[in-house]
Amino acid sequence: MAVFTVAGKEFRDHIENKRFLVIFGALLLVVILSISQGIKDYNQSLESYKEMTSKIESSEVEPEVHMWMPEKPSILLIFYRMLNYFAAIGAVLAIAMGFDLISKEKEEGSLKSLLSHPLHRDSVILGKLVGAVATFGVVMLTVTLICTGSLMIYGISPSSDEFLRIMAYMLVSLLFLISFFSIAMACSVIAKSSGLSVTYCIGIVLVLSFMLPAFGEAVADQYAGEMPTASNVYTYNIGPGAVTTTTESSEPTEAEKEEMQKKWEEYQKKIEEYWQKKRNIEHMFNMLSPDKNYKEISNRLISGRSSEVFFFGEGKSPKETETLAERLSSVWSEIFSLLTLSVVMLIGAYLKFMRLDIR
Amino acid sequence: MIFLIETKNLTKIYGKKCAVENLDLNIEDGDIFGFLGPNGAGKSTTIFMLAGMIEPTSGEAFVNGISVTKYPLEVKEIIGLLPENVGFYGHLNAKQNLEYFSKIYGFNKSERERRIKELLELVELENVEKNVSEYSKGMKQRLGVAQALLNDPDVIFLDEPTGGLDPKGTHQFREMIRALNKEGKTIFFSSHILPEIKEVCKTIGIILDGKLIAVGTPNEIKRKFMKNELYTIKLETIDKLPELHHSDIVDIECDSHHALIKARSDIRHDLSTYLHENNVRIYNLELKEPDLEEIFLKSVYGGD
Repeated sequence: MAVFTVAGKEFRDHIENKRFLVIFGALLLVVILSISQGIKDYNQSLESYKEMTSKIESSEVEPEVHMWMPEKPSILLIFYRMLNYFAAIGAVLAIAMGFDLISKEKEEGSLKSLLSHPLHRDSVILGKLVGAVATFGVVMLTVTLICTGSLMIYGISPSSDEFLRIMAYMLVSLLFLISFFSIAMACSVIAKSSGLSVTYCIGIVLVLSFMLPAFGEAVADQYAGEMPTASNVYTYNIGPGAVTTTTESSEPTEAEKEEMQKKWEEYQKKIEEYWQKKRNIEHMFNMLSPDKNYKEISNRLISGRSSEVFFFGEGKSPKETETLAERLSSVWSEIFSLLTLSVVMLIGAYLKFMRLDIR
Repeated sequence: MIFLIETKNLTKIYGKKCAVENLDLNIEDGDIFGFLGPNGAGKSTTIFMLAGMIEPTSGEAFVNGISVTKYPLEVKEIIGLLPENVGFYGHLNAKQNLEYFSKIYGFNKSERERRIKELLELVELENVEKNVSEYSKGMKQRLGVAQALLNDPDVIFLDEPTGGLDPKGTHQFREMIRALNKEGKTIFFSSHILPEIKEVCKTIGIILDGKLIAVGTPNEIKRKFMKNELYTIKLETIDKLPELHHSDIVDIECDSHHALIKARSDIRHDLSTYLHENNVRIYNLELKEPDLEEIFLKSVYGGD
C-alpha cells in the first residue's frame, strides 16, 4: 500500500516536472520527425521494390540479376532512423529522472520527514522505482501511439508479425530507459549530493557507452593480429557474381585455377576467422554497454541485421521470414546483459538505501 | 512505575565512534523532557533510535512498552517526530505535503482533509498557498510540527526545534509545546541551548560525548552539579563587621561593613546567629547561587 502511495506521488512529480517535460518534448519531436522521414524512406524503397518486381515480371531484367533483387522492405525500417535519436535522448531522459531521486531528498531533508512516518524503507525505494517505470510506460505508450498513428495516417498497415516486432521494439526501448534509470538511481543513493550524483552518472555512462567499446576495439585489434591479405593479386570472374584471385595476368590453366581456388578458400577461411575473433572480443566489451546492447537488439528486431554485420559489410542478409522468437533468441545475450545491468544497479541501490544514514 | 519512554543500555557505534553509550532513560507520561547537550553529543542519534529511524548497535528502547527495534512501525504509529532542519517537498504546498504523509497512515479522504485543516489552523498556515520552497525557516518549523502531529501522537520528539528561529518564533514555539503538553502529549525536546530547555521542560537530561551525565528536574540537576561548587554569600551590615570564622568558609573579601564569602555550604543561618550574638545589625544577607546555565556551561563546556 505504502509502495503505491510513494509511486503515485513520484509519478505525478515526474509528469509535472519541467525538466522531464522539456526532454520528453524533445524526444517526441525527434520521434515525429524521424518517423515521418522513415515513412518517406519506406515508401521510396517500396516504390523501387515494386518497380523491380514489375521489371522482372515483364522479363526486362537479366535472370542473373534476380539473386540480387532486394526483398520487400519491412515496415519496421520506418523505425530505423529513430533508433539512434531515441538511444541518445532516452538515456538523457532516464538519467534526468533518476540522478537526484534520493540525493535531493537527502539534501532537502524530506527523506527524514518521510521516514519518520510508519513506512518501511523498501517501500520508499520500490515506490520510486514503480513511479519511474510507470512514467517510462507513459513515454513509451505515447511514442507507440505516435508511431502507429503515423502508420495509419499514411495508410500503412503492419502484418501481425511486424506488429509484434514493433511491440517488442517498444518493450526493449522501455528496458533501455530502465537500465539508464537504474544507473542514475544507484548514483543518487550513493552520492552525498545531487551534483556528485550527476557526476558519477556521467562517468559511468561514459565508461560503459564509449570507453569500454573503444577499449574493446583496441583489445580486439591487438589480439586478432594482422588482417590476412591476398597480396599481389587481381581478380577475375569465375562465374556469375563470384570472384577469385590470381597472380598471373594471362588466362590460367585448369590446375592453376584449382590451386587459386584453394588459396582463395583458405584466405576466405582466415579472414572469416579474423573477423570472428575480432567480433567476439568486441562483443564481450560491448555486452557491458547498455546502448550498444539496445542498438544491437533493436537492429535485429527492425531489420533482421545485427549492427556488427552492417559494420563489417558482410555476413547474413536480412531475413524477413525470421520469426520474432528467432530474432529475439539471436540477441538473447544482449537482452540478458541489459536486464542484468538494470537488476544489478537496482539491487545495489536498494541495499545501499536500506543502510543509508539519514540523520 | 511504567514509563512512556524507556531505554536500557542503548548504544550506537558508528565505525570507531561511540555516538551513544549505554543510555538509560526513563520518561514519564505527560512529561516535557529536555535533552540537553553540546553539538555532536548524541542527541539526534538518541532521538532517531527512539523514533525507529536508525537501529541501535546494542541495548533496547521502548515507547509505551513497545520495543522500538522489534516494532519500529508500531512505534511510529504513536509518535511524531520533528527532525532538526526538517525538510519537505519544495514543489508542493503545505496541504499537499501533509496529504502525502497522511496517506501513509491510511486515513480516508474526509478524515485526511479534516485533520490537515485542523493542523494547518493550529500552526497558522491555513491561508498560505505558496509552495514550501518559498517558506521561511519559521514557517517550515511550524509545518514540521503539523506533520509530526498528523497521527495525533502520544509522544512528540522535537530535535533542536527552535534552531534558527527568531525570538518571536521561539516564543510561539514554546507556547505550542506547552499547549500540546496540556493536551496530554509527552514531549521529548532536544537542544544545546539551556535557556530553551529550562523555559519549558519539567525534566532535563544532560548528555555529553554519548553519555548521560545527569537527569532530573532543573533543581535536582542544579543540586547535583552544585556539590562541587562554592556558595557565594554577600553580607552587608549596619554596624562594624567583626572577624568572621567558620569551618566551611574557603575565602572571604571584606571591609568594615561588607563581606563577600565563598563557602562550601549555605552558612547564612550560622552567620546571622553569630552576628546577632555580637550585636551586629544585618543590612543584607544574600546567597548568590550560580544559575543552572552557569553550572551547565562549567560542567559541560568547561566554563567556556
